[in-house]
Formats: sequence, structure tokens, C-alpha cells
Amino acid sequence: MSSFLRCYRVELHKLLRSPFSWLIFAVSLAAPMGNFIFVMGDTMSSLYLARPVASGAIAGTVLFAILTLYELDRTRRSGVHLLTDSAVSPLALNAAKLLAINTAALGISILMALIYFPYIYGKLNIVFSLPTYLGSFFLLLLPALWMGAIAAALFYQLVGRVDASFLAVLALLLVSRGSWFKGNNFMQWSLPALPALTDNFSNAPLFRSALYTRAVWLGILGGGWLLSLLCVRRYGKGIAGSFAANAKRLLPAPAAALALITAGALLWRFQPLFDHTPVNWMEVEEPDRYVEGVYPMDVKLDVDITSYLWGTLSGSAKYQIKNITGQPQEIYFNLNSGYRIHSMRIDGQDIPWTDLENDYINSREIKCTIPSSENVALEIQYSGAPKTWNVMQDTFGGAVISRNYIDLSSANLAPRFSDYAAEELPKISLNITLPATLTPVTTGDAPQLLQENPNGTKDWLLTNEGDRIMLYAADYVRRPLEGGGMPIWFYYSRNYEKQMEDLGAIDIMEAAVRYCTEHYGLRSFTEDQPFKILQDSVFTFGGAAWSTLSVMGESYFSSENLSDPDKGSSSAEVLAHEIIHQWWGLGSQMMDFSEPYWTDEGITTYTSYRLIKELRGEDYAQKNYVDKWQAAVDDANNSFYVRHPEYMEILPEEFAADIASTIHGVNLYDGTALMIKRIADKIGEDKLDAALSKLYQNGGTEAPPYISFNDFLNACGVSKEEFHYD
Amino acid sequence: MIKIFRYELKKLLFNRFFAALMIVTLCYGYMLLRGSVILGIANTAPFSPWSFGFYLSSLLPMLAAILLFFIAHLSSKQEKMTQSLTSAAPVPPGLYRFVRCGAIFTGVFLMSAVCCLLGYIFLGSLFRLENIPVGEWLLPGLMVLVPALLFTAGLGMVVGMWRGWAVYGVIGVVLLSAFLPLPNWALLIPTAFFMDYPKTLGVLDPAFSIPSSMAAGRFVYCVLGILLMAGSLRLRTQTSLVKSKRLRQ
Repeated sequence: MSSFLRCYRVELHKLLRSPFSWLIFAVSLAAPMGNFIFVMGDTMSSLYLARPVASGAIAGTVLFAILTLYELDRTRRSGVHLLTDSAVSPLALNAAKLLAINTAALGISILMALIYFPYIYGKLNIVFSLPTYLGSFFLLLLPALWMGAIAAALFYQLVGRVDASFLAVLALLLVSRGSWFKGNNFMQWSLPALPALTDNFSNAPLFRSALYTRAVWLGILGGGWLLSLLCVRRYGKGIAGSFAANAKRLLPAPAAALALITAGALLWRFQPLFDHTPVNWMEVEEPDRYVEGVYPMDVKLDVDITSYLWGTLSGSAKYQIKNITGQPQEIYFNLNSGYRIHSMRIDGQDIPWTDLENDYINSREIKCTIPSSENVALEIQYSGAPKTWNVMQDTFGGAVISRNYIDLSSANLAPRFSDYAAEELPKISLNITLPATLTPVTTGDAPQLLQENPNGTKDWLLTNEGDRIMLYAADYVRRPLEGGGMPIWFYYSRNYEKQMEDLGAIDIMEAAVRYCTEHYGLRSFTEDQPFKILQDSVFTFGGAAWSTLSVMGESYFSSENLSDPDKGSSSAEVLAHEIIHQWWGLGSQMMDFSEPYWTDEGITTYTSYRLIKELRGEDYAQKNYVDKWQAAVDDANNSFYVRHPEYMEILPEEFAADIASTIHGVNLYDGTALMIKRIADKIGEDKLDAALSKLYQNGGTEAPPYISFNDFLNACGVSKEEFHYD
Repeated sequence: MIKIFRYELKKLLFNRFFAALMIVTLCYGYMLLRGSVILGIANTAPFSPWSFGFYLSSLLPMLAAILLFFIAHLSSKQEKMTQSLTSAAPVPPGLYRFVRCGAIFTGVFLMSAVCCLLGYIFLGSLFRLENIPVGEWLLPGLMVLVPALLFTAGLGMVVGMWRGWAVYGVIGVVLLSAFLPLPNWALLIPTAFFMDYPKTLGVLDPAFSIPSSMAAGRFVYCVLGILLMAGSLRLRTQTSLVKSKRLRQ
């Protein structure tokens, strides 16, 4: 051991004196400035931390692979390998060299973190987070350099050639980063999925996933490296002979290598991060679980977050179930695939249950049988860490449990009763303890603070009508918004407390509320259940709206985003778009079974245009909205497969579905908005507004309460012959 | 000379690295065909000359890297060790090297041809072989491959004369050039041209054509490539003369 350490010290010393090493170090240090790796998110942390780190990681993988090959080949290149082999075991020498290079990689990463600190801190300013900064450099960047070095050493020890080994590393990198494995986080051996970094909420799922995939690849590459070490050529023998000779001298090595590879493979196979939704999930038919006469009346949830570090919780869900069928009935619950049921009890007695393990969009079904009695009290105990839908494994959209942010909704929070119909909606309540810094926001009633605990936590009681609760909690500031004469609360990150007014976000939101109230009518929000606009993590990638809640990605609020002239309408549109959905989508719904493109999206997109036209003028709106819709529609109509549907028919299903989905998206948003604009041009905007207001107030007549395409055309006084979907 | 060329070409084609790289390239080609080409480039058919040009342009960085890799190998230590033997042959060393580079160029061109065949089989199996206008593929194929590979080979040969390892730097430059926002005429790897230019023609399913500036750009790359190759030949001859003069002194 001491001779190995001596060897390591010599190699490290040699490495630090080599001009070539310093060239590699210098280029590695400069690589983050290249910013050549695209990161989807547009938060400040994505732009000024994730992108440099991703570029540094990918370049570092290649550079440290080159350095490793250069160092491992040094004795062979100088023609002294026969001499050095007789003095030092080539196995020990190679291991010492790799350790020295990885030590240097650690040093370079520390240096990089220090050098870039003033710049990144200056750019991120109020949203700078030290844990995110350190996580980025030491969980994302540093292991990339290690992986590059280990992979290069592995190949070199196997084939004994620098060029072939370098190409093998490059090929492995290209394949993992290529489109084939783009959505597969576990194939990213160099740099795990890095779609964005949040400025204000939690990057915990991303870092947990990075840590886990690093462990997987450390096992696989480490084991592979150890096996390849035994292939280092000795005594003039070939690969097999050298392996046999080396393995004889280093008996535990093959077993250790296999153990490492197996550990890596097992970690991969039984990963706890993402669910196992089938690849063809769009074709999966959801089973009908509706049983007439069986429904929940009251749901009481007690949830305890057991680890903020690993994102785990345990909970108890108590259901009062009405069974008026007079028969025992099989009932189903949906629960996030990451949770395990510990017990199910009816009136204190354990009952059997079955986990169907049929993962589908991050949840699975649990089946049990309830007795024939009319009132059943069922209690379910469960625990675990919520899993993310595997389709989102490279974007991390899903449940989050962390010390500074919580996003738990529906089956991510507790078992959710499957399809039912009841005259009265059940009442649901949730008891949860949260860190004192977090403010809970839900779809339901205003949260009640039960007590403040001496350990820096608070107990909350959250209630709602229905069988589910959407829970968001973060360090929010709550601010009322003016406009429309109804209670509106805007929740945004405390990081922006001082700057929010200057950003212009408040104005845009108030303008959207005012516009919709004036043109279509009031929404029925009450003081108990006010309209809530919530700033949410960048991992939402867009916005969403449910019940009384409008959720928007955090990047729309950043000064960079709102002041970027190149983005034209996009950030303002999303802000307005999601608020307008409170009118079109939640207040009133567009739906037509014979016109699949007639949905809330088209009218919401059109209303966004009208709002922006009012705010920024006709030219701006024409250029950034109407012209863009037209370009998108033209592009979709010009698509080869639209013009030649006969070719679409012979395409394999997966490609056809992909193309159809793109065209569907264009018609849903741009095509419908464009058609409404054409109608407005014909009948006049005032008449159109009056028609929309009437529809909003009274609903449709063809399939009430939904507003069908015909309802809309009739209200506008135009015919389907003039305005129709192609 | 023809004998040497044939021998070098045969050596290359039966080289295990060449075979491995061929497999990697074909896998990449298949990914491109399945991922992007099948959707049709610039609203044209997936089997149009435009989509085919896009396919080859996307493969080009890999083909150029392979070409340079084998050129770099000519300057490797092992090759230098055999130089004392090969230089004893009654062939000028520069010309010998030129013929070897020619064999590599031909080998990579053959690899490109196999990729074209893959495209033909893939698209033909989906859309029926009789629908695939192979004849129309010739012009975009030549326009993409010949200038880029000639220029890359020439640059690789000149740089390889100076330092063998520096050819790997040229690989980096070629790969980087694929991401630079250059005007169409200056593109070594014209992927962007195939994606954008057909849409500017104002008709759907336009016949394959290239603007004169683009044609001039491709021509300049060809000429530069040939000049660089000739330069490397001359450079080599001069280096050999200097060496032999030194030896005589």
C-alpha cells in the first residue's frame, strides 16, 4: 500500500509538472465560457450556471479522457515501458496515474468553482443559492471529468491504443448525448439530464437524480475499469493471457469488478426515481373503475415528511366510504408509484389489498374489497418517495419534497379514490407539518395554521371540497392584485420581494384580469376561496391552471425574461395566457366532440393577442401574434404528410403519431386563434366580444354547459361554410 | 502507383477500426433516418434530394472526423518507424503519402456510399423502392460530400505534415464549424442550407437547385482542398530535400 501511495505521489507530481497537463487544465478552466451546451430553462440559474457547468462538464469529459490517454501511454510512447514494467507493476502504475488524474480533476473543479464565483454570483444576485452552486460544480461537473478519465483508462487498458480508445470515448459520449437516448437520464454517463436550474424553488429532484445516476455509472465504469486493469498486457502475452496472469496475482479484483458492475446494474434496474409507464402510454386504455353507488364522503389525510434530504414522506389516509349497493365491492385507488402501502384497515381490522403495479403517468392502482355495509371506514398507511413519470425523466416535472419547496398534489400526496359519482362532493382535509419558512398554497380553502412548533416548524390544516388537494409550499410573499373587483392573491418567491413591482409582471397580470372582467364578466371567487396566482418552479416548463389556482413558471417573472426584446410576446403571453384560462377553461369551457381543435386553448390564445394589442399596439400584436400564427399554420399545412396523407398511412405508427401531434398542436392554438381573428375581422371586434361575453355568462346550448363550435359560430352570426377547420 | 493505391485501400477496408467506425456511422445514419429524415426536411418528402442532402450533411461531421483520424494515423509513431523502409522504395515519399491519403479518401467515400445505400434501403422499405428518386440524389450527394471531404483531407494532410497530433485539433475545428452561424456559401457542413433554402424558393416540393453563391462556395472548397493536397505534396518533397541535404552535409 505504501508503495502504491509513493507511486501515486510521484505520478501526481509528474502530472503537475507536465506542460500538456497544464494545457488540458487551462482549456478545462476556459470551457464553461464556451456555453455550447443548450439548456432548456431560461431562469437566471439556467443561463448563467447550468449552461457553463454543462459546457464545462462535456468538454471536461473529453479533455480528461485525452489527458488520461496521454499519461497512460507515456511509457509506451517513450519506449521505456519494458523498463518501468520491471520496476513497478503496470497495474499499480496505471491505478496511481488514474488516481492522480482524478485528484487533479478535483483540484480543477475547486479552482473552477472559485474562479467563476464572482461572475456567477454577480449575475444571479438575489437568486444566488450556494447549495445549488456547489451541487452544480461538484455533482454535475466534477464527476464528468472523473467519468471521462475512467472511461478512457478502461478502453486504453483493453485495447492498448490511444486513438481507438479516444474514439471509443467519443462514440460513447455521442451515443449517450444523441437523439436516441435523449430522454433517457440513465444513459447520460457524462452529464446527467440538466434541463434547467430553478432560481427560487428546489433543484433537489435534479441533484438526487444526478447523485443516483453517478452512483450507477461509477459502479459500471469502475467495475469495467477494474476488469480492464487486469487486461494490462504483461510478459508479452495477449489480452487473455495477461488477464489470467494478472487475476492470479490480484485474486479479489475480478470479484470486486463484477460486484461493482452488478451493483451498478441493480441500481439501474431498481431505480427509485422514475416510474415504469409503458413506452406506448398514449395507446394504453385506462380501465373503467366506476362502480355505481360507491363513493367517498370524507377523506382525512395525515402526512408526515420523514426526510427533506431524500424527499420521503409517510402518511395515513382515512376514508368514509358510502356503499349503497348492498354488496361487497372492489374499489381502486391511484397512488404515486414511489409509495408503498403498509396496511389497509376497515374498522381496525387488516384487509388484503393488491398493488397492480400498472404504472401509468407516475401512479399505479391499488385494489381492495370493501364489505357490503353502507358506511365503511377505511384507513390506509403508506410511505415512500414520490416517483416522476418516466417520460419526464429529463425534465423533472412532478412531485417535489425538499426543505424549501413542496409540490404534492392528488395521488402524489395520498391514495386517490378512483372514478366515482356522488351527489355531494366529499370533504377532504390534510394535516401536515412544514418548515416555518414555507407558506402553503392549495386549490381549496385558506390554509389554517394550527400551531407553531419550537423546532422551527408549523402545523397546518388544509381543507377542500373534492377528493384531492393540490399543495404547493415555498417561501412565498402574498400580494393582492387589483382589477376586476374580486379577491386575487399573487404568491411569489420572497427573492423578488423588492423587485417585483419594477419587473412589470404585476401590471401585465392586473391588465389581464381587468381585460377579462371587462370583456367577459366576473369570476365567482370568494374571500374564502380567492383566485390565486402562483409563481412555480421552472420545472413546470410553462403554466397550468386548476380550480382557483393559476400556476406560472418562475422564469416568466425574471427581469431578463421580461426585458428580452427577442422573445417578443412569449413571456407576456404566458403570463396573460394562464390568467385568461381562469375565464376560458375554468370559468367556461369550449368543447366539441366533432371538432377536436375547438378547445379553450384557441380562444385563450386569441384573447392574449387582444390584450397585448391593447397594451402594446396593433403593429406589435400583428407581428408577434398574428404573423406567427399564420407562419405556424402555413408550415403545418405545407408539411409533406399533410399534403400527401397517403404516405402518412404507410408510416409506422410512432412516426405518424408524432407528426399528427405536431399538426394537432398548431391547429389547437394558432389555427383556432387565427380563425377567431378572421371572424373578428369580418363582424368587428366589439360584436365578437359581445358574443363571447354572452357565451361566457350563459354557456353553450348544443351540449351545455360546454360551448361548442356551432354555439360560437351562431353567437357570432357566421356560418360553418365560411369558417371551418380544414 | 496503382498497385500501392490498391494495396492501401484494401488494407484500409479490412482494417478492424474502419469496420468498427463503419458500424458506428451506420448506427448514427439509422438514428438520423428514423429521427429527422423520416419527417421530411423543409416540408419536402423524406426521400427528396433536400432530405437526402440533409441526411448526408448530418453524417458529414462524422465522416470528416473518420477521414482525419486515418490521416492522423499516417503521422503516428508506428508509421514513422516503418518510414525508413518505405522511403527506400523507388517512389517519392510525398507521392507515396499522397497515394495513401487518396486511398483513405476513397475509403471514406465508399463509407459514404454505404450510408447512401442504408438511406435507400430504409426509405425504400417504408415508401417502396420505386418511389425513391435515386438519380436525383446524385447532385446533392456530390455537392455535400466532395467539397467537404476534399477540403478536410487537404487540411488534414497539410496539418499532419507539421504535427501528427494537430490533426485531432482539425477534427475539433471541423466539428465546431457545424455549429457556427455562417452564410450558406461558407458552410463546410451545409445542414442549415438544406433546412432553410427550400422554404425560400416559394414553391412546395421544389426541384433540387443551389444558388450560384453556394455553388461558388462549394467550388472554392474543392479548389482549396486540391491546392492544400498539392501543397502537402510539395511541402513533403521540400522537407525530404532539406533532410537529405542535411544528411549529405
